[in-house]
Amino acid sequence: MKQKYSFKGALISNLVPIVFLAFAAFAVPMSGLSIQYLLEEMITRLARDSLLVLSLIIPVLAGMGLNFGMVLGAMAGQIGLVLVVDWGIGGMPALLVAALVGTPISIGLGYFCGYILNLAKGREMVTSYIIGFFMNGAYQFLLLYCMGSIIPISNPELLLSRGYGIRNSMDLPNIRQVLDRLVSVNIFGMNIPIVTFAVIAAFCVFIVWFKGTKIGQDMRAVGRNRAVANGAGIPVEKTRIMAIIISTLIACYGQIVSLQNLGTINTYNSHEQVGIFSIAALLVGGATAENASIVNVFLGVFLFHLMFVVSPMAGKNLLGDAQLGEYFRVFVSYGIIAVSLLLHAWKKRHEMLERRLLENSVKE
Amino acid sequence: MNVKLRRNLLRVALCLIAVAGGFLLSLVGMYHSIILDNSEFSSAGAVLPPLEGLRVLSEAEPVEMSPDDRILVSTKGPSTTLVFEITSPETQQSREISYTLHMGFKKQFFLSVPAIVGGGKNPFLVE
Repeated sequence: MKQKYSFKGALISNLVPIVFLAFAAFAVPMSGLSIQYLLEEMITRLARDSLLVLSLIIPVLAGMGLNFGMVLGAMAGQIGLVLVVDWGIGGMPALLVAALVGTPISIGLGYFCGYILNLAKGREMVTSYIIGFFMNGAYQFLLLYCMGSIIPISNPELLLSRGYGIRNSMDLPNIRQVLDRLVSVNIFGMNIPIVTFAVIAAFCVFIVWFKGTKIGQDMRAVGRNRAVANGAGIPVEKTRIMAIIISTLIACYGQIVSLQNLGTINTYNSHEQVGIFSIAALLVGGATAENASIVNVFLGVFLFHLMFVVSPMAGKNLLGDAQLGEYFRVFVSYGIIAVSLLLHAWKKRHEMLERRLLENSVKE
Repeated sequence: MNVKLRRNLLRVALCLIAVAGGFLLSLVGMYHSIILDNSEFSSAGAVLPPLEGLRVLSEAEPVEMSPDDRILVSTKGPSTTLVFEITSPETQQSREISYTLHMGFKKQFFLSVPAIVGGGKNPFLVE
């Protein structure tokens, strides 16, 4: 039966992007920034961050919520880049080697994360958040103590003055924007990185194709109802692990693409913000912990970054202080995560109560 | 051949291809530093004087070298060809000598230009 279209329903389900669009409609003229400048910034930022946000779609499909554990993939990507810089590789081969190095690391970390999440069913989001913190310790141990002592690092410029451990920040001299500049088109004075967008498009196609495969359908079934999926003979735990591995792997490639655009690595911080930022962007795009699509990714990155660019200037022009605009943006953007997670918890609780009531009425 | 064995063989083959691809990409994308030294070179009793009117043509812009000069040339890839253009101060005649260096995975090289131009078998210097 065809579902009846409800304006109210559409408004409620798209409330977050509508609020952000309204905020943007108010803040863009206030900022005084030109449309061309804003478009150029948005294109750069879409190319930089879309792949990272795309990595969150598959775990949502598998009913595992928003994968805060994607930071593990970002760590793997960074390890690949650090090693590539040490080996003195540059250009496109550097990105490919970094991806090759990052791939087994992110598969291993993804498996580990998926295994832990299987032990904490129903509490995946908070568990993956804490796994991110836990693995951050392991990452710091690896880069601060093992690199240069156990893992040979031949480039002394990368090492701390004590002789081991990687410096806090490092340039990517022969890697900076190699993917973006491989083929770029200048339209109305705006540089459009064709290859970067082609890579992002390829991953979008992969996600769409993957959803239609047997494993993709299994993931959807597991996401809807684990008990029913298990009853239908779907290996629930294996499917969930696979979802996290794919997410971690895409996050690894996403971090490599993102850092080549920036041209510099903040060795111990770059990956930390990636999880929160990507999840906030996805939610701003209208996704929820149970439902996320590719449209949500692009809309979210666009709106989230529009706020980044516009808020300080709007705050400065409106209130005389750029920092006030920034405070407001942080409050709204990250408040969205809190509200969304709260709604998710409330909905789950409501569903559970309804199920109990139904069970009790059947018993009676 | 059963399915499990075939899958495992495929996995091993993919891993090997990835490792081989990594090596190949590293070889293609590796940057090397070549230090060229234009000072007196002596080997097996023969002494080769520094060259005058020397120009080095590499992947980067051409660089002129005076006697006792040292320059750093940065190149990318498994091998590079350096061209030395020597103009005689007396006759003003020029001659070109090409030297192909296969670098592999080594990052830094230290070469004597008089040894290369003089046809020395081992132009590598150790600092």
